[in-house]
Amino acid sequence: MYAELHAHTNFSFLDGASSPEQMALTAAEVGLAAIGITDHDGLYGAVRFSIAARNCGVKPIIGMEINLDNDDHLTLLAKDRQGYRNLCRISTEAHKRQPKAEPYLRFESLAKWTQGLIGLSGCRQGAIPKAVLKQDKRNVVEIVQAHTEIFDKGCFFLELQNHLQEDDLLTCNGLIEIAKHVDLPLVATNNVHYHTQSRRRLQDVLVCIKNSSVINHAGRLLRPNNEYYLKSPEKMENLFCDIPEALENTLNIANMCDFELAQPLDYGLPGASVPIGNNEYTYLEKLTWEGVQTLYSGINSEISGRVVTELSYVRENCLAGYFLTVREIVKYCKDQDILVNTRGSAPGSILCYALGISMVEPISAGLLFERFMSKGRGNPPDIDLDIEHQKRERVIQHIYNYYGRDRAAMVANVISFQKRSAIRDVGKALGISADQIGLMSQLMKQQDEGVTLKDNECIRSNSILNNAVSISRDIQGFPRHLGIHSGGMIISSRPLCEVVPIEPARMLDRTVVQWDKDDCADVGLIKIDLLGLGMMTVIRRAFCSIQERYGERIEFEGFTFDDPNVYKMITAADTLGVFQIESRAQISTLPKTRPACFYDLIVEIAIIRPGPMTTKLHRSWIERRLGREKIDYLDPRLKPVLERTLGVPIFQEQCMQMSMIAAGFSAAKADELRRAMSRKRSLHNIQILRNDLMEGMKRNGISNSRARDIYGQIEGYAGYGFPEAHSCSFALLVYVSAWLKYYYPAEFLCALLNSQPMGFYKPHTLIGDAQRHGIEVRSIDMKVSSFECVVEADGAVRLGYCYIEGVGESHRDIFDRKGYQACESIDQFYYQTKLSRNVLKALATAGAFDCLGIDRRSALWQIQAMNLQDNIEMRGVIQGSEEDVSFQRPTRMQQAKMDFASMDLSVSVRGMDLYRRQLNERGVITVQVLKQISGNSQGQNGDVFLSKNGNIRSRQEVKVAGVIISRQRPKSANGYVFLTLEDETGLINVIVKPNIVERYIRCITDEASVEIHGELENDNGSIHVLAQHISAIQTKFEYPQPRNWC
Amino acid sequence: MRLRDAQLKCPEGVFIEEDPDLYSEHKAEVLHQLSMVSSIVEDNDIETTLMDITGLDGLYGNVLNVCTHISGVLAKYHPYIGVAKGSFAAKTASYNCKPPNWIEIVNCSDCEYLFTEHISILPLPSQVVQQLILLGITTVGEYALLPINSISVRYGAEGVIAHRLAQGIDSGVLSPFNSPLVFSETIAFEWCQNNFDGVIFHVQKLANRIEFQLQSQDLMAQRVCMRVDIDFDSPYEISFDLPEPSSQARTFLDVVRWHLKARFERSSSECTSEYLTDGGVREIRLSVEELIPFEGLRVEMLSNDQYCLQNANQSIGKLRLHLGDDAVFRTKALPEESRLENAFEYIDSYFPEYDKQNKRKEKESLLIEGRMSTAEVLTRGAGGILRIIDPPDKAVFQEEKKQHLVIDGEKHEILQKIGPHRIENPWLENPVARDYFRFILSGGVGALLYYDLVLDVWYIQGIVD
Repeated sequence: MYAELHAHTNFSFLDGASSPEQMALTAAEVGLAAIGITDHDGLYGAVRFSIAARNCGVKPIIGMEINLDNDDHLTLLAKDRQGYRNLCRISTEAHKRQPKAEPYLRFESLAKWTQGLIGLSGCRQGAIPKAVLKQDKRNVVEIVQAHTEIFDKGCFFLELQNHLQEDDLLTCNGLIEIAKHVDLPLVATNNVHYHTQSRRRLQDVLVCIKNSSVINHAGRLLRPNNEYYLKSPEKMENLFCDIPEALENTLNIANMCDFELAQPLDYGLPGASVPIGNNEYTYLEKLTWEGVQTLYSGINSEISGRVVTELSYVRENCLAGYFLTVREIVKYCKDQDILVNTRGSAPGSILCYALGISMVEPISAGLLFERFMSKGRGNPPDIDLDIEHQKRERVIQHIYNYYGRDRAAMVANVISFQKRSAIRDVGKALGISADQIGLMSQLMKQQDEGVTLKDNECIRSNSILNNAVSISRDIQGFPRHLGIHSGGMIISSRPLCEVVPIEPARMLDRTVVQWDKDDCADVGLIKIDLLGLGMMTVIRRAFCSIQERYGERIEFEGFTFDDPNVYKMITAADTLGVFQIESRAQISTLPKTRPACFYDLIVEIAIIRPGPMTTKLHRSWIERRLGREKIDYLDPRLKPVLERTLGVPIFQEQCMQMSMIAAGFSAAKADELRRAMSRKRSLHNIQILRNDLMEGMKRNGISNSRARDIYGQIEGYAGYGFPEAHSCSFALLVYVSAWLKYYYPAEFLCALLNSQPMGFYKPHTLIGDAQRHGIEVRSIDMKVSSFECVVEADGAVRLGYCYIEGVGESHRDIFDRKGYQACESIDQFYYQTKLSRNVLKALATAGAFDCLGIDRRSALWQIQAMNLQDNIEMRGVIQGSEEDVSFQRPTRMQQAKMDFASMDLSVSVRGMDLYRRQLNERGVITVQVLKQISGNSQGQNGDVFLSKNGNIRSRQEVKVAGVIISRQRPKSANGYVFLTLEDETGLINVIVKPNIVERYIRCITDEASVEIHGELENDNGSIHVLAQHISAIQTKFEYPQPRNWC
Repeated sequence: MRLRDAQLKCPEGVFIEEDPDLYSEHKAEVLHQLSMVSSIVEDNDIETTLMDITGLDGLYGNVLNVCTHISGVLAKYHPYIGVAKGSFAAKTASYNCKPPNWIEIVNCSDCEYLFTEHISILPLPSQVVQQLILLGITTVGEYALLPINSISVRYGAEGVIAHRLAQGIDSGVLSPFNSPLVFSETIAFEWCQNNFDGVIFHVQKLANRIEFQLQSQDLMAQRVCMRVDIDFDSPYEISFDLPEPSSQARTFLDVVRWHLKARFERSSSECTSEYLTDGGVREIRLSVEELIPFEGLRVEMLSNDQYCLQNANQSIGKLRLHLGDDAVFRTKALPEESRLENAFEYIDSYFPEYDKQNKRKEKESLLIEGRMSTAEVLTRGAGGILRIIDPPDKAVFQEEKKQHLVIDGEKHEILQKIGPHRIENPWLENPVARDYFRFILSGGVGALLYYDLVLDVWYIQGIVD
């Protein structure tokens, strides 16, 4: 028998060539008693590995190969809980203050944390093997003794490895001799880097990627043979037949190691500050009832029952501290005037509502508490906080400072190889030319790899390219490096570095744990998500602006969500800038679905998303809403669950309930299904649960075909899991942002402009939309403008300096001082602001100095020659004597050109208005006219017909022109491209069929403004043009680049 | 017109893939035909050729006839021909030709002709052009009217050059396309340089510039010429071979310093290393007379492809390794820090001894060359005749159990077998998988053998006495 105690998975980044799961499975197959994971300098793959090994029936041992002084490696294994804590400490210390990916620990430091650890002398990079090879016996003995001293008695072993390399026998013999001399036990390992020999090529490529080398020139960077695979006990016995004790010791060590990551870790949330006389629970209870009393005018049995249920669950699971901690964070945000809300399942909890964590009232919204917390869940609830995106970092840093930097860290995001990054890196490692890599990458982008690359003649006939394709396929999904999760934070009551290793993130002042969110959840670490949301910033800014201007204080609590004007605006798809419902897909759907109440918004934002649209469920829902399709619940027992969504499962809660009703799943199993749906590997996991589900439905008398349909709905749903509570929370922001757009458009626009980048549209488009709604937008003026955009006393929006090219956050102070506003010349302005010449030129180009009586061109000409010296005497003085040069005043076209060049937007030119005369001559109509025609033509002038599914549609030949503001080519759309065009009167969606895309691809991808000839289609009020011919319009200035979405 | 523009204008058009080889072929023909007409023809860019037709009107009658003749000899290419005093205006004129008028002769001054052209034709950085357009200056004429001092302050030397062109002042001299490849650098001193170190300081600059030119073209200098103009004396000119082909400035400098020192010491007994007493240096020119390709050869030798395997048995990286192995039983191990050049020195010193033993007849063709310089070895490597390591012989064992090994017909008992040492390389065209063993044989003989795991055959790599 044999246990492998030294194995690297692909979490030894760019070194190990097999996943933890593959390693564990192979260990079971070859009959290993136990397997120790020893990735380089961290425990990145430890959780996945432990779970996989346990599932395969192999004992997992947690370890690490640490990098010491002189690049010496040492293998460490956790014997017990203390050993695991020390592993975490060691890894944390090794990464502390070191450059990224270059961890290192001094040997003296290691000595402090060896309790509970077993040390093995390491691979050929270890200090002892290196000394043995140098044949300096005295030195070897000294080094061995130094190592022996720092470990507990009987916990240090000399590690024998034989990979059939030239000096392996020499090393082994030397180590055996030393072992006899100093009376130390020996142990055999294989320094495994891949689970099977066939992975050797992949490992070579990874090494080349890591070292930025090419296979042909890698030389000694590569291992000389394939012997670093997971060997069976028999193979190891053959290699070490002369030293059986080295093999026996592997089992002895495996028996000594009595720690598994599955055990609950020594982790607890930090205690919340609780008034004297209370404990965490009683304090939470008190706060909850106080909140309920304040928020509800009358407390009925439903409310009190819900509070009692939730509190009892909190007490049973000792979660009071968690709620209080989140409340403290929310309180900090509120104290700092930072808008905060929850997303995910938390809005379903009345506790969150009562504590002020959530803004959604769950009882009237009909939200289930069980999705957030239930007895069957097995892991703690997850509260995700949405915070204003511009202030999120402040909150994160507050948490670091408040709880201590050693007790808080961000969750990691394991960045893995994707199709294109894999082919790019593998191609480079194989020495393939950049052109060929580009070609392959392009092919991958365009079509499915399996089909295109194999069928490509060039690739098929070239063995290197073939290799690249096959290796890049193997490498996909391999971890490449560690990133930071978008907002997940772990807070701990004890030093977090004893629970999980922490390392500095690339971002300043941030640290990150070595596990991703799934790993954290698997070992019971509670993550608090602090997510940045642009719309929160917009809403807060708009509220402040309204209060400043009108003295009217607006708060979320005051909204009743039933204003017909708001719903009318939404139904008219007049939603540019509105949260979640501003996209092309939403705009084309809103006139059909006609949301009329808050719940309609909840459903609308949940179903018009890429996931559901892939499964075409949204069509069913729309058809049913329009009354053109019969509502089918698949089984009458599912009616109560699906009734509100017209028989279409939209929310996670519904899928859980469907499985419980149709297949008799317990709440726990339904939750398991739900979690499987929401994870990256969900489809695979769902298929594991498929059999249980099908059998359950059969038992409940559901026919095979119906069962398949139900399963199909649940399976299809896996890609886009979305709890109803989350949708409800977002719908709140949808309503509020729509309300702001309707009642306070100037403040809303100003807030949007000051919160960029965010949303679907560029500022130029948002300004155009506001102008069409009667809002005056003024350009930058040196005498009036501030750094940010502002609403002026007469209700016009004044652009801020932040829109000038070259002006960034570092200039905020300069522009906020405002002393420069009194300047009467450009020289004085420069003297006050000390801006660079490029910024000055951009300001001149944007017309900021018009107020000084200097036109744009003269200002620009003057600045080009200004002497920007440090010498005050010389500053601003034009070099040499100059003859006077006079310039013509710019035309409107030239002015627009200058606006776009300096700000990427223009307040004076909209859409195609400068070209309208020529367009009129060609019979091109405006979007406004198009909409009028569409309204008239339905059932009158147009060609009215019934589509395949019975829709009434009308078609009419039209010509339209505009600036492309967005391009979309969703994977699910089978090659269709969707363009959104803007002209001076509005926006229109254009659908381009694949054959037309192929013909006009250059126009579609390269041109900023186009003329479309096609058919106008009106589908129940949703209008678009089906393109038949596309041509470029050569404009004399460059419009902002459109946004491209997949 | 750019292909992208063409596609935009004509989305339905069928575009044929570009063929650079065919294009070069035709370009060469165009240049050849034009050189039959005028001796000064400049290959200006991918689609433009400039030629000096001064005086040809006398030969052909008038300028139009010259153009017609050119048009005739290049009839199949339908060239657009522009004629002007300056090359910039001529080029602009050719761009302005519109079928069916293939020829445009500028009869007015270049300045007048260019007046209405768009500003973007001037050789100005694109940001400057953008700035000018924003100022409303969109034509060459408008630019020409701007005061020169204003241009100079705002747009620097580039602006001034463009301003001169805009005013029709074009003194550019054509560079004939067929002039030989010359790496030559000259420095002339305003006052004669008497300080020897001062001279060397400037030679260093020349050498640096030549180094840059050579390395940018992947070339090495083999032979260099130095010409020194000396006050009150005839010029000193000498050509010399470098110790080995090089593109390093330091190599040129060392050799030049040695020659200069020798020259000045020879001419004057009073010359110290600091001052040249019998006349200072007016001008120094350093030029390369003989070149050899650099990177190409090294790539041939260093790359780990099948070609090198056939010709050198392994790549250079592994050649050193093999030499190490070879030396274990032949001569001595190479030091770890050996570089490529050192490795070749060892080979060179090793060959005569190897020749004496004369065990491998097939090597004689190489060995009779005797000691070779690195350059020769490299050059021969490129030719494909270099075989440094012999192909191994198949091992012959006396019996099934492999207790005796036969070497040169002599039977040796195998006393000890050390190994295996496994080498597997899947990246070669013919993947290698070998188990190496060291055998200790009777009579104190050692042997290095390997078992080819792919071919299932034993080979002798070498014998140690």
